[in-house]
Amino acid sequence: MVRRIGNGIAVIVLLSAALVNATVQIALQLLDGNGSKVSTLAVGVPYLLDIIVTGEHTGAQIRVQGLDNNFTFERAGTSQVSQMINGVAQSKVYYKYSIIPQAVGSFTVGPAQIDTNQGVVQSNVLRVNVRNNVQQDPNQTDVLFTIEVEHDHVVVGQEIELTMRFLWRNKTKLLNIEIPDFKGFAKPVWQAQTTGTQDINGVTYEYAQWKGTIVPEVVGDILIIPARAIYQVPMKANRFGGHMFGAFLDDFSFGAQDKYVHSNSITLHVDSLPAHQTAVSAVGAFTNITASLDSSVARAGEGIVLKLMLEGKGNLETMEPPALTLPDSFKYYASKNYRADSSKGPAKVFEYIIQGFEAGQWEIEPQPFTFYDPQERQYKTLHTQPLSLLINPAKRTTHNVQSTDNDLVVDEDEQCPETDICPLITSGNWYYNSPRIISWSVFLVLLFCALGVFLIYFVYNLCVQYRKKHVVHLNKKNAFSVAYKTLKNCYNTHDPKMIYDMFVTLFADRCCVNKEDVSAEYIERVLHVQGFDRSVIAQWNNFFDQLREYLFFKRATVPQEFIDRAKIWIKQLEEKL
Amino acid sequence: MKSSVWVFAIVCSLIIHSAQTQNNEELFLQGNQAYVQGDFLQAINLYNAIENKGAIVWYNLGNSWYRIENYVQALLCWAKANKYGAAAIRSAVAHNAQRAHEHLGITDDRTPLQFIGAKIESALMRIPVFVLQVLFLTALYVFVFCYIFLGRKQNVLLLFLLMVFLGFLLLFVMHVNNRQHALIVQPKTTIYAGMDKQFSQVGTLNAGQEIILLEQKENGWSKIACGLVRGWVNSESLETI
Repeated sequence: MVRRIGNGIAVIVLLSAALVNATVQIALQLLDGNGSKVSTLAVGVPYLLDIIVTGEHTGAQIRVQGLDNNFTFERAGTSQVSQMINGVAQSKVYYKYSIIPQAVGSFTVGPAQIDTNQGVVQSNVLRVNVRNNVQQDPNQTDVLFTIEVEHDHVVVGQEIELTMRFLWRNKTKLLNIEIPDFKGFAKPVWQAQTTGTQDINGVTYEYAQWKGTIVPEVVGDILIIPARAIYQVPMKANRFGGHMFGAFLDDFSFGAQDKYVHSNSITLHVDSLPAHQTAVSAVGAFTNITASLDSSVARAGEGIVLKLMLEGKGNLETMEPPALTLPDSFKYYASKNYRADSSKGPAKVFEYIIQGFEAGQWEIEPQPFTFYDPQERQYKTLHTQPLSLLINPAKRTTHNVQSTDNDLVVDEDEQCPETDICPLITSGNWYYNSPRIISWSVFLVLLFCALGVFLIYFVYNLCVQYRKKHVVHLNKKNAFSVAYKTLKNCYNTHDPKMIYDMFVTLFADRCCVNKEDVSAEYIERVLHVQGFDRSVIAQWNNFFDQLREYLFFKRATVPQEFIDRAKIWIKQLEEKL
Repeated sequence: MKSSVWVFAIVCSLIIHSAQTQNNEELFLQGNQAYVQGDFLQAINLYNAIENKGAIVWYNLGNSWYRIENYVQALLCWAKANKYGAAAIRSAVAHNAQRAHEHLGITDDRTPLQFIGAKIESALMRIPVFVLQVLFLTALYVFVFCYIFLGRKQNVLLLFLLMVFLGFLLLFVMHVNNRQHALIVQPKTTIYAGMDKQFSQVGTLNAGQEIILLEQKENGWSKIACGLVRGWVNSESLETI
């Protein structure tokens, strides 16, 4: 009985264990750089947030609440751990995130949520306390990294000196400094790196130091988050001591380890400037302002450079150019500004282009410059000395230009000044006229027309010359076809002369002689040479005599039978001639 | 019905065109006034607003940029005025450009040969293409006529040579006119031997120097020629004229 109860309990335990494993679970944990769980964090320092998911959750989505506003975070990898518990395989997946607190205070991280088939599963919630990162204890470390500011309670626009110092002892080698974004400040201006030594609690440290200036642009508590220094320390002193290249390997850091350290963070309290009747952008301790002109004589409308040189310490980089107070007939605009060094220390020069439009002797009154002195917590005003300026009447500033059919002619009486540019052109065609041009298609048509005419003439000429050269052969070749054509006409006209001429031409063409040379005797000779029988020649002579008879007696027509005989003779001649 | 719609459309477009022209002319006059009053920024804005800018507008725009000491922009505008303008504007532009070059510290370090070449090119650019086209076609037709009807071989040969000369001149002027020019707008622009900063440096150009743009690639590099130097510069450092 007891045995049966025991077996039943064992089955229930195994089933429940299997059920527990099938359920997805999620948990959060926050670890520091050493892998220890933490709940108090330092601002600006990275920590590892583990999201541990147990059970099958392939493709499930994971969300973590509470990270959006006060932390920066990024995925840092995934790892999986599998184990057997009571014969059941169980796996845990660690989703790792690197998080960096960005603000001081108490915050809640989580819960993390995962969507499963059973619904949304939530994790625990972590309550963390973020404080300013404090300076390291010099007794516990070989390196120190500090940030210090001149004042931690300032007004907006006040220039503050910031010092960043990395101190080390023993064989430490600084590799890099990662400077954070100075949110809420104008872009910091850094000076060159300096080095030296410093004694702390009787221990001598070497240091590298960077000085810069920052100017807050917003009111309230602004956090300067820690900078990070990456450095290298030897893993073990004289690690390669026994090796023949031990010194070489040690020197080249084959046995070195990269480490990093964060500086302290600082919270600055930034107040707004006290109320003032005009907008003031200059904050500092300014001692003097001077004004100067590059020329004391100018023409009306001509630009002159007015320089304001401001001496003293303050937000020289970020301040706006001061507004000028000038006579009504003057105009000005800020040209450029740049840092300068005066005999009394740092200075800034503001350049303006000013123009007077009325001729006369003018005085530029002392220019006021108002700034806020944060040491004495009050507004102060400096003045420049007055300046005098002679404005002469303006020269003519325009060309007289006559428009002549799309062209311009400058009046030759007006010459361009040697030291200045030529004056404005005020008349003429101000719009763009595309240059007159024969359309390229039309141009090509005209070109090919001419070439075509030339080509036709050339070919015609060649044909004529060819014909001249080969006319005898052509006549010989075409003699019988011409004869038949003529005979065809003879059927209509019955003209004996036409028949006579036809035979004369036929013999002249075939024998390549002139018509004048063709006579009855000549024809007889030809027929003889060509191998005609004597009887045939006699018949021919009879026929030809008859034809000449028709001609001699000027008979107008010949009978049809005679033309038929002529046709028969042509055929006979064609066979042998 | 259809014809009346057409007439209405043509009349409307003529009215709109006339209004636009009038508006542009007013902008030109207002720009001139602003310049004379010394308000150069306003003059620049007004000139820039003109559509279909002619040589005079570009010239005046260049003068306005010069007055506010933006010499590179002034040179760019004057180069455009030089491209479209007549002889009078060209001489004024040459004078003004010299002043701007003095401010920018650009010196004329061309060799005598390059100087003569530039003068010839400048002279050829002034010959209107239309004139050359007409002269060439006239010479061609006279040559064909004489060849066919007169047959005097010596005269025909002279005409043929004249025609060939005019043809080559026309081709050369077309080549010169079609060549793309550009102005360097960034100071100390480096010329590289290839389309990458890893290639060796061939030379350096100052802002305001005019160069010939041989080729422009989509990867942000342009092939240029400046005197005897040829190479590649970043396309952002130049503006085409």
